[in-house]
Amino acid sequence: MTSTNSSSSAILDNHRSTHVQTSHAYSNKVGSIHINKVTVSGMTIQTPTNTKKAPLKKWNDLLVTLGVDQDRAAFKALFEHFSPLLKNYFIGKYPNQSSYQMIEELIQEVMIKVWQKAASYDPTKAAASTWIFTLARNTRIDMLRRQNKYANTTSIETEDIWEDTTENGPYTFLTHKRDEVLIKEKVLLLPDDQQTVIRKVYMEAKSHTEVATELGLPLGTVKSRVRLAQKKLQAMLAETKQNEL
Amino acid sequence: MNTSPQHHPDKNILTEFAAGCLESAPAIAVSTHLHYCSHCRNDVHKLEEIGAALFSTSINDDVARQDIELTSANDGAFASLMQVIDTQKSIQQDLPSGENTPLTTTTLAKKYTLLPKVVQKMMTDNPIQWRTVTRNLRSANLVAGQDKYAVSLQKIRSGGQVPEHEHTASEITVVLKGSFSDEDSVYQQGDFLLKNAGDRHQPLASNNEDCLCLSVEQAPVKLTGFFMRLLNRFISFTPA
Repeated sequence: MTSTNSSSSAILDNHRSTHVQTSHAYSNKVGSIHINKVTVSGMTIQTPTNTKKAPLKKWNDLLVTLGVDQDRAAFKALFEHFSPLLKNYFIGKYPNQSSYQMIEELIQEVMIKVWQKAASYDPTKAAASTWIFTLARNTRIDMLRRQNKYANTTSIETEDIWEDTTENGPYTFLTHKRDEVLIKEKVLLLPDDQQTVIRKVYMEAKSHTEVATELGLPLGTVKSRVRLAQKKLQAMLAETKQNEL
Repeated sequence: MNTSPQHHPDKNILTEFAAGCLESAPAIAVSTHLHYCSHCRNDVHKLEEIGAALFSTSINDDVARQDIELTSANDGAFASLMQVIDTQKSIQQDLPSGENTPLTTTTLAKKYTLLPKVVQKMMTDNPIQWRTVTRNLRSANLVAGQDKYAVSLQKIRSGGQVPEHEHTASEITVVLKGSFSDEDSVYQQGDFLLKNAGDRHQPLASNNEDCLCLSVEQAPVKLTGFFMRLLNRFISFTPA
């Protein structure tokens, strides 16, 4: 559904990405679309110059296309968007320069899973970013299990414990790509102390206890800051969902 | 019959599970609970969405992307990725979770085949040996690919009471079949119960059937050998 109303909603509709610094053309089956850079509240956002009837595909749609057709153009677009995010994600757990080679391999491992599993991706059950986040998380867990000498005493796989997030549902949060701009803005609005702790838990794979030890805080304080951050983020996610209706 | 669990993991445990920083043994307990609890599955999905939001905003526009050595972002990296994909012998387009063959050819008794997959795997990977702990309690160790927690099955005889005992370490119990009660509440299939070191209780199984539970107990010291595990459980008994 494309909106043809105010210019602000045209900016937020069908945006493609907020972080790529250079403009470039993206080709899909519909045709070529050129992208301009627009600055909104200090952040660079790319918008299609053609806001009429040739919308850029959302990440969800790209994943579906990939699953149906093994569409390589779609896969390349996904790769270009997600591999930098994956790199940052794995750096969180493995910040040392000596790990960069391993990180490149982990990124490749996740993208291969994206390729292999795209056919089972259901956009009504999870947003593309959620789906790919869980693939990345499970890949990180796999890495740790491989380093564990007891791992081969059992046939249990990571996916037996951390099951595919789309197996249940349907979940109605975050089904549209255009949420991502708003979410990015709002995540950055979280108070620093909350952002710090919640990023350590998710992005650096640290337990609440480890975070408390590292920051020299009482465990209860860490738990309540994480809870507060979660409540705010969930409210934001719910709000962006409502705004679409 | 009430089918949904009433006792759940705390939010911070679910958060660590969704974030992937929960250790595998307690994660197995959470996963077992999720098998029975749609409410918590929903919560975990929301927690994963938060993870996705953080994941998606991990690159600050202020941090020049050029500074990050992104070999992934150039055509060479994509080309080599496609090369790997193209040369893979079997490209699975179907659902994942590769059907890993169990370590043994043990088949599970029919009554256990509705248990969560992860529990079934532990029950078939290595032979189950039931040991009598007390008149009403039997225990069977499970191998879960790690050595920080003692993972086991606990079976309380129907109508039987386990003598009051103090936990020397924290223990998670997830009810698989039947039910038991203690001073605080009744625990039924799927219920997740965390007891901390120092907690005491006297579980009593309901009369109609034996109560089967998954137990994940934190090992205060590194456990060596089967008997040490047995001894470390329920160290202080008061006569029933």
